[in-house]
Amino acid sequence: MTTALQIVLFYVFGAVSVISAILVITRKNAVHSALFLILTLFSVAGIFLINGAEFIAAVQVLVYAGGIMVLFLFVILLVRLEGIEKQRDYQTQWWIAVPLAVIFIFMIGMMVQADKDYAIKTDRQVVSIETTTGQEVAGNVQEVGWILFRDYLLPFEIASVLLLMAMIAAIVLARKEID
Amino acid sequence: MVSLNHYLILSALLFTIGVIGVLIRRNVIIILMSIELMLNAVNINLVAFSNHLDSMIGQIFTIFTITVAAAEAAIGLAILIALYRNKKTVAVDEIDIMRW
Repeated sequence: MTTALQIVLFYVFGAVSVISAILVITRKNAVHSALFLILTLFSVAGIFLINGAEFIAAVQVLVYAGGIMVLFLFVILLVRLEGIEKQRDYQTQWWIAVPLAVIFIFMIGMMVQADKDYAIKTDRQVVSIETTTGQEVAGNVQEVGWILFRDYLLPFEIASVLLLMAMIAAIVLARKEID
Repeated sequence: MVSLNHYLILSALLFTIGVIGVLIRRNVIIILMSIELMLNAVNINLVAFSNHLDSMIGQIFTIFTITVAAAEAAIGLAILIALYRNKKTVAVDEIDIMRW
């Protein structure tokens, strides 16, 4: 990908993700929030694509936008929101929360700025604990697969057990009590 | 050239928007969505560093983050449904039974 295209795509996806994220937290209607969150997730998938992580971008669209957001929309349909929409949207602590968050982002910005020189100095010279695949790999998916199923096999299995536990727990929690 | 700092600042912006959402909204569903926003900001960081350092490990960890996010969303929404069934509300400041 050429650098100019990369810059344009970065700013487009970044602007869309930030603006729709702001809309997520300000919309009154929860369904609108969910739809804007889907837009944010798609733009973040685009950011992943710019970084050459095609597999993660596909997983992002499939799992997040396809799975988790459908779950959210179903719950919004199950929970009656008419009452809360007529009430106020924000908590009484918003006037202290927003200034604190602004201070927070300035803090992060200062850290990023301070690290800038360091990052340039050590650019790509950081010791890579990278696990090479040792094979001819034909793309991002194959690369991820090699590392995930060889070096990170145990975490992968633990993640699957975690998902099983979450599934059972969600069923138990959301089930109607049988007297 | 899109440098690492651009990604870090974008990720910080998204994370802060998520924090603000958690702090100011009353609707639990939107608070859960804000948590998803924060997790996404972390994923951007991981993938950007993976690209910057030429290492695949960041992408592997992103897969695990997405797994945990899926589990968290499922459990959180199940708790929300159970809560709604008992309290008939999804406003966080009305769910104050454990408050001192």
